[in-house]
Amino acid sequence: MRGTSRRKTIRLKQIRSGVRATREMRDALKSLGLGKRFMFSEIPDTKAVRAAIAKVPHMVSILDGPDILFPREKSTLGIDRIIDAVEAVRALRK
Amino acid sequence: MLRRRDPEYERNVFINCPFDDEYTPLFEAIVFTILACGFRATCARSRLNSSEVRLHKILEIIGDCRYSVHDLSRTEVDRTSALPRFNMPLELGIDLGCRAYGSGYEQKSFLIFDRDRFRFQTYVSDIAGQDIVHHDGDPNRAIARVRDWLRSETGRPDIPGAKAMQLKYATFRGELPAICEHFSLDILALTFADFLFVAGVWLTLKIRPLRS
Repeated sequence: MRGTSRRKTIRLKQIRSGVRATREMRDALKSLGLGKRFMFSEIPDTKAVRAAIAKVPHMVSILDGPDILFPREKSTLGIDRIIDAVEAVRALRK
Repeated sequence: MLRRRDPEYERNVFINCPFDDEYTPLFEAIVFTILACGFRATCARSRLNSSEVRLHKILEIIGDCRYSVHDLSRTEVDRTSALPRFNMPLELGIDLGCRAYGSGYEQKSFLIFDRDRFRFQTYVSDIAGQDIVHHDGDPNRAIARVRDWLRSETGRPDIPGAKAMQLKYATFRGELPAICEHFSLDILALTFADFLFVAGVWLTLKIRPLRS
């Protein structure tokens, strides 16, 4: 049907805090609809969006499924340490 | 006392199940599936504050969750006391009561598990009209059942298929020992909150890590 084609979207999740990021990185996050850790946004998949993602690749994850919710309680392990551990384990397995 | 319902009520899933070592593989598979489907898993273990009365804590959690998984597979006679364990059927009863009498809780949805298909009819025949599913103690079957239930109840098209979910879980189980070793943690001694965070981070990074 004419005019009903769905625009391709991209689902993003911010996985690291923007507190120590540069202003340029924080602006890139804002343009992606993010800003705080664990924020989720679904936006059109365009070249501009991809360019903004390329500025903050370590802070953003592209999801191909639903938004993953984290518990509200604090983890005794620390989120950043878990991220580092998961990445280290993956690097070893490669 | 009236209390405000959790703002994320629609995405909270309460898990009512035994918390022993034998059940842990099933429990962790169910928690992982709930997270991977985009929901928040919660259970009596998510609040370890000893100053709270356990039943009050469970009542609050039930009131905060639209979805519930009740596993009755451990309703059996205890060898030492020769009495049945009835915690799980009691919590299922509270949840059914909440749905029946609670204003605004009519849309609550349950998934009831048992070990075998018709076993529950001998000890809680009052729920014989309900559709009860069995997992045979198999985590992969439990994953498929939980995923199918959440997908059909929510109608969300973004929930991955059962096979993909089982594959993801197998990969996660393969990496979990090394992640725990990284923290010098015993894999069997992970707290509920830590398991949730590790699984949540793993799922978020696993999907498509951007950093090589």
